[in-house]
Amino acid sequence: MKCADFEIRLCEYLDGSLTAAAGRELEEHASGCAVCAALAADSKFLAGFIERVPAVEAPPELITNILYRTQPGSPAWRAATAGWGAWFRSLLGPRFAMSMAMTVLSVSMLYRVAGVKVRQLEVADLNPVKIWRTVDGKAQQLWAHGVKVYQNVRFLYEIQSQLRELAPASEPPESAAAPDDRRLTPADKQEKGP
Amino acid sequence: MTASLAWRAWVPWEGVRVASPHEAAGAGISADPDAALVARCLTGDETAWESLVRLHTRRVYSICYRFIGRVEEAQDLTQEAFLRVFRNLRSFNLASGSFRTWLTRLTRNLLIDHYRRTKKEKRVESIEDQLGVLEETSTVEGRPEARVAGREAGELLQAALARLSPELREAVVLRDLEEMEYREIAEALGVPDGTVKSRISRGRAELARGLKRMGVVS
Repeated sequence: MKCADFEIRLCEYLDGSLTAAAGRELEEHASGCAVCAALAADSKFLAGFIERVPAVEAPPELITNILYRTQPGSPAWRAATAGWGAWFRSLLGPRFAMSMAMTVLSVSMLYRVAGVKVRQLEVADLNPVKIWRTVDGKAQQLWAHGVKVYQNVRFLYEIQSQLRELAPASEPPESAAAPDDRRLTPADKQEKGP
Repeated sequence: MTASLAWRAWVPWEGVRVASPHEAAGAGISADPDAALVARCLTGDETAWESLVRLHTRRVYSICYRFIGRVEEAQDLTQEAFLRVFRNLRSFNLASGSFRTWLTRLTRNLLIDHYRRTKKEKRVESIEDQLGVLEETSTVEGRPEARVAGREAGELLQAALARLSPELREAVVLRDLEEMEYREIAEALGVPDGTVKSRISRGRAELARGLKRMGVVS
């Protein structure tokens, strides 16, 4: 028997619900294991002590308070009877109205930025073929736009690179003309020398 | 308090039906002595609610007091537990356990919430608690025969319980002080029977060691 099993079966042993053979097995384990023997001794000690502890009695006014707080018309009563009515009433509150208004405003602004034109839906708009063509057309437009932007950026980058390559030949390096350059040239050193 | 028609018309659980003890027994569910009262509550019987409260208040209060150790807070939590029962009685399902187990689980959840909420405060108070226990210890040890009983034993037990971890404390309280069955405790705590027994054994041993440190003898 392992100590973990002893821990579990000790409860049944103390309740007297173990068979004689199982009880003997438990006792044998305890005789060879100091930790489990101490566990059993402590459990027996506690059982003896708890017999001397009186039961906790609830204050008499507690029942009266509970019944008072659950009588018809009390807040608890109203909360229990509210059901769906309370949920609908919460929708009419200013907090929900403000949240709803902000959501509508945000969505409409997003639509405007995205270039979506909102108009009255017609039956013909719900035709799957038409929806597919519209989506396909929009996707192709988006792709073409993306490709164009990419090519323009690439062209600009190439021009900038070529300009940078030409720059050292036509202009003196910035560092040579910098007024903050504190390094002394060999000529300066000769002038300042003794 | 008598059942009134007006109350009946606005009963929060009206229209909800639970299996009667007969039906429950037929469905293989063990008969719950509280099932009939709950069924009457659901039909709008105000006296049944009062009976339920009277039957279970002492037990719920005892669990709260043994877990928290403070009378005022135990009373508040007991009231809160019954208010929750009142609001959620329609969700009680006899097939998933007895009313007693359901009530214990609900109380236990409240206690755990309370424990988490007051954890910080307890850290601050711990020094004062230790001083209190030291005073108690010296009182017990100072007596020629430290075989305490009655109220004094209750106070010592409370001080030792406060030193236990919540999971060991709840297991010992439910088994040794409230005399619940292992299966009921397992259902209330949501752990297997073996875990419950293991926690009870470890909790008992820790509690006994705590009491011995206070000078209590068998």
